[in-house]
Amino acid sequence: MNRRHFLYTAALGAAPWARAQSDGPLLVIGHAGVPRVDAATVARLYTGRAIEADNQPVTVYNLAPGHALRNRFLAVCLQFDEERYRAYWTVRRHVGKGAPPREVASVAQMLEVVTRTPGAVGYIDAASAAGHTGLNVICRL
Amino acid sequence: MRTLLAPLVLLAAMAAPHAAQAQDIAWSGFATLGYAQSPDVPGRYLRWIDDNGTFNADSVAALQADWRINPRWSATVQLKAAPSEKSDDQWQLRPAWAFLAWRPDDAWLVRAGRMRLPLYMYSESLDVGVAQDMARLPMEMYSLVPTNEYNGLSVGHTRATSLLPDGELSVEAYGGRIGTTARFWLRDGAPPQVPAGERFVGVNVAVVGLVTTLRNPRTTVRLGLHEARTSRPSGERTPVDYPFVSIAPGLGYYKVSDALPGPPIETVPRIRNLITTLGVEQQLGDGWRVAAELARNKQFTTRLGSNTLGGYVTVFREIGAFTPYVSAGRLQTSNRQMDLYRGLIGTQLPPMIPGAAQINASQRIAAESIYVANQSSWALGMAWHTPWGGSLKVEHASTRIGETTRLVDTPPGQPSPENQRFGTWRLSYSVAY
Repeated sequence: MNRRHFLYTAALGAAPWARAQSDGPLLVIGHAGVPRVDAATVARLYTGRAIEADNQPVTVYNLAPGHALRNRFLAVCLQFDEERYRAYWTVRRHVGKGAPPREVASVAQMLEVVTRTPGAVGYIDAASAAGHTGLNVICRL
Repeated sequence: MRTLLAPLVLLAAMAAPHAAQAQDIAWSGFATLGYAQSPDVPGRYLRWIDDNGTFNADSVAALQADWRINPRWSATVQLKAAPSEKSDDQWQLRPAWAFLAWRPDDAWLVRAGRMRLPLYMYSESLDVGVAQDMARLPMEMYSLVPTNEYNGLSVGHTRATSLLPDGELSVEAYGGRIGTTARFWLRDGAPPQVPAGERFVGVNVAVVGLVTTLRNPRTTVRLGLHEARTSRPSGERTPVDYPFVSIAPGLGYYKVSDALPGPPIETVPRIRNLITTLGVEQQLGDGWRVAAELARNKQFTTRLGSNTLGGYVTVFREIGAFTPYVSAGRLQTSNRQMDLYRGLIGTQLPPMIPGAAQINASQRIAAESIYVANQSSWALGMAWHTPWGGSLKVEHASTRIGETTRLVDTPPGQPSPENQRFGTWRLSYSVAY
């Protein structure tokens, strides 16, 4: 596989074809005030090719490797599996293009860190959002 | 060095009082253990490769820290262990990257510190074995400069473009300095003053360049213009040419030293090279891919020094976890340099003339100080992206030396290889985490 090809495909090629799966939409959530974005921008944020949502700097968070929701997010948003996503960042970080998103261990931690961290962006599934009022959903995948 | 120290000190200082935010420093690393052997090379290829085999030519390891200060600012330090540029017998641990990066918005990227010189299409990833399918990037292209790092400033801008479907156009301007060591091989030297063997000469290089890259998911096209001005740290000047001194009909010598009789040697404080590079990578579908690069390294000012045209074409085919490839490369020195090289090597004073041996030896040393290389290579190899992580690669390359090549060290007293072919085996395993 051409590893450098990852650097590009994820950000520009994958997002337009992303689609929600049958087990409910994924919700991309942001700290209060983070503006709404489209799926292509979410893909660019999680591949390090963008740092802004509508001109506002953001910090993206990922679930830890192995988490089922992370796998689903990578597949839906980037059309990557875990191996390809890791390979993508392995190359990108070692060519001086930044480090992969910070990681949290669980959906509960994701909700907590996005709620309390200005500019934070993360993702959850629709079921996990139940009972949480006032979530800032910036994109549905 | 001062430019390099700034981000290092900053990284250390800013990391210390924020220990609670240790998760903002991301650690990573990569390594390649590579073995290379040539059973029939007439000497040693690429400093170390001969019939005995070596791990020096292709092995490297690095540890990297990325500090994510905030979405706009970051700092990166990469410590790399690799064979020394100043000795054939030692390894060296040195910072390959040490820079601060600032992204004022999605389009702009400004970096300052020590970075990779963006000379080649795969410059940024050439140490990272898992990022490449080739066991080693072709030396006919990837031997333009003795080092690939510079201290300076880089400004890049990236935007979407309609020139290609889903296209992206990026422009990077950079400038800085390289303090490095040029290695020369003296077959015979001029004992006892100048011993035979490797000789390391410090050089300062001021570089500026502009690189434009157009890409989309299938295509990458990269054009670079780079100017290098090279001088000696000691202030020693570089000869423009060596005048020929005739002492009798059909008999004479090149005046390669001011100690020899003859007209003065014109010198300059620095020499200038203009390097133009063009690279293309194209996905062809069904797992096929082709990559090609071309470099014209044009020497101004002097008849000494590198003045070359080189490049390669490689075709890959991805078959599951395996990627076999075939590659062809060629490197050719310009006639202007070759004519001087031929003159210096071919002019021999007869032994009955006093001092003839020393003059002949000096002419040979002067010739060997010109970076002449005429060679071409074929390579057949394969990369296997193993299920346990990492890449295992094997390659056999067949290299044909033309008139001569500086990439082969000729043992003392032996004839310089000419119109000869030799093979090189490589086996390497690369990991990254």
